[in-house]
Amino acid sequence: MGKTVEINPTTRHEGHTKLVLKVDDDGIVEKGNYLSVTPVRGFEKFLVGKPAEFAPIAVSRFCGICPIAHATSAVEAIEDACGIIPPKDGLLLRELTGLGNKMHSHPLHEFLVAPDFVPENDRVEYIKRIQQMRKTGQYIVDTIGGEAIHAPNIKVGGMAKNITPSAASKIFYKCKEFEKLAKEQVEYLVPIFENRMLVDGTEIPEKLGYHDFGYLATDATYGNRENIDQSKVIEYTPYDVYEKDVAVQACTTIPRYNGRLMEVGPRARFARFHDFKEKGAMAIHIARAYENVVHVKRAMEIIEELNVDGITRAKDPILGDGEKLGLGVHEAARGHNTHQASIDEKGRIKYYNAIVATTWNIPLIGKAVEGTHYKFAEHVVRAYDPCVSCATHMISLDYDNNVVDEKYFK
Amino acid sequence: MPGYLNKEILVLGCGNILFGDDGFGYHVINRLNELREEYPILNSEKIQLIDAGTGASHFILSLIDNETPLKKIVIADIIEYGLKPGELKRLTVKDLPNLSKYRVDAHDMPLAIMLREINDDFGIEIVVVGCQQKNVTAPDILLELSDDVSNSIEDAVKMIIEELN
Repeated sequence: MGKTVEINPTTRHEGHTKLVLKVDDDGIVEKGNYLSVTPVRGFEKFLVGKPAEFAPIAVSRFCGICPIAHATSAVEAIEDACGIIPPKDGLLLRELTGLGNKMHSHPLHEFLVAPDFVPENDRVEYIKRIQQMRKTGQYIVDTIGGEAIHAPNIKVGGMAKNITPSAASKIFYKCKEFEKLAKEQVEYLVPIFENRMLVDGTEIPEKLGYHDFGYLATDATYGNRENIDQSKVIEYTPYDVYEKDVAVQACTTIPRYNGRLMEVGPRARFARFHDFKEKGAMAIHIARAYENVVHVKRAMEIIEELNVDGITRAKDPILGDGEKLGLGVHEAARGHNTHQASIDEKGRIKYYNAIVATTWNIPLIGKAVEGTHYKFAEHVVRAYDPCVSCATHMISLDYDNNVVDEKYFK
Repeated sequence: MPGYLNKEILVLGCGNILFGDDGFGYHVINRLNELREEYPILNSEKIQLIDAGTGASHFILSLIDNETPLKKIVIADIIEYGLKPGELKRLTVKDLPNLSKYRVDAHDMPLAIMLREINDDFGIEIVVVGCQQKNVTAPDILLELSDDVSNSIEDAVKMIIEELN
């Protein structure tokens, strides 16, 4: 007979989501749907007509977690639309700010999964390590970005200012400390994920989260629009993909690359740039743990490469032709994050679109829970570290083109 | 630690500028920044003003620990106390709602619990300069404050400066 199991809300990630699962008599998921139920905000519409410089300020408020990732994607999109090329030192500092954001975000996720995987006896030391890593990530964002949360130094054309030699050496020193902690974290966490053992002694099925979809990543640490053919990205509506009763509840689009669902995030970056072949939910955790080390190594490279006397911002006017669709790609903590913008001759936004990392992962998470017992589904969700507020950007219409009743979003 | 945690007093403007009166905290921080010449205390090395938006719990409060030298946190935010729109209320930790521990969604943690814990665990004084909201539009976007809330910003700023002295 089978039945439908709804897990609502899913927990210990960012944003409001639920799982709607069709399971067989043994509880095995036959059809998995993972849905954002976060209210729609309509950023892409209200940005139209606003000055281009307002976009990074506004999209920093998509949600409270990834302000740097969104501001970076926004300025990159506007620069592409306006033909502005930021100076090298500006780009290095911008990348370093983004690394700071990821160096905070990945350990935060490792904190959120601690109740699943970290025995009580180890937890104090584990969390101390995480807190120290998060502080360093935030130190970098605060120092280079100019403010702790909504970094005002991220500007169209580059970065508002360079850093002092003293700040550069402090960041380097803190990165050395972070590197040591990140390696300790790898040594601690990877065996736990390889053993697939929950803290209560439950063994996670070996193939939990396996899928045969693709991986999308444009750069190991920053983002590179040259590494993606955006014309192959098509966003489908929930009605194109889900059954009607599920589609009316969904408020994200379903993007595909070359017709295929794609995973984004740490494992996708590792598959693309580090020849990482592991599959399943635990492999995402493993890639994320290793990525902390990759991030800090790149941060130290940047400090060594940076000219603290260099120019950080191009002075070109922020004007477009109203036609060219600029593309900003940033490899955020949760993965490939794209913003697109066209800017008119007066410097105002004519069109704006964001396909954020979790938008890519949401439909794939639903598929990745299929084939195993539904009691493990939450562990697949959490492995992807979904951050949903920014992914939510469409309202479902019914067949008469009316907005579906608000109750479906709750 | 991040520079902002190495201070004695933090002033956090909380809320989202995109949702009408929820932008109160942001506008208060902006106004404080404009008044730096008039009130030299705002330039003190011991004080930091932060537009915390909706990220205070992640990026600030959850990073506070025994090593943090903070003595006081002043928060500017809207409140829903059934008062006249724009009315200001000074709240301390004993006035905050005693909610049960929240573990569901890392994105939406109520600040009250964290503030209470910070006070209990580290002895940091908590003061909220709350402004009775009139119009919070989430999820709809509105970049302007209501007149009632907007008219309270100057008084809120004065209350905060008193807290710093």
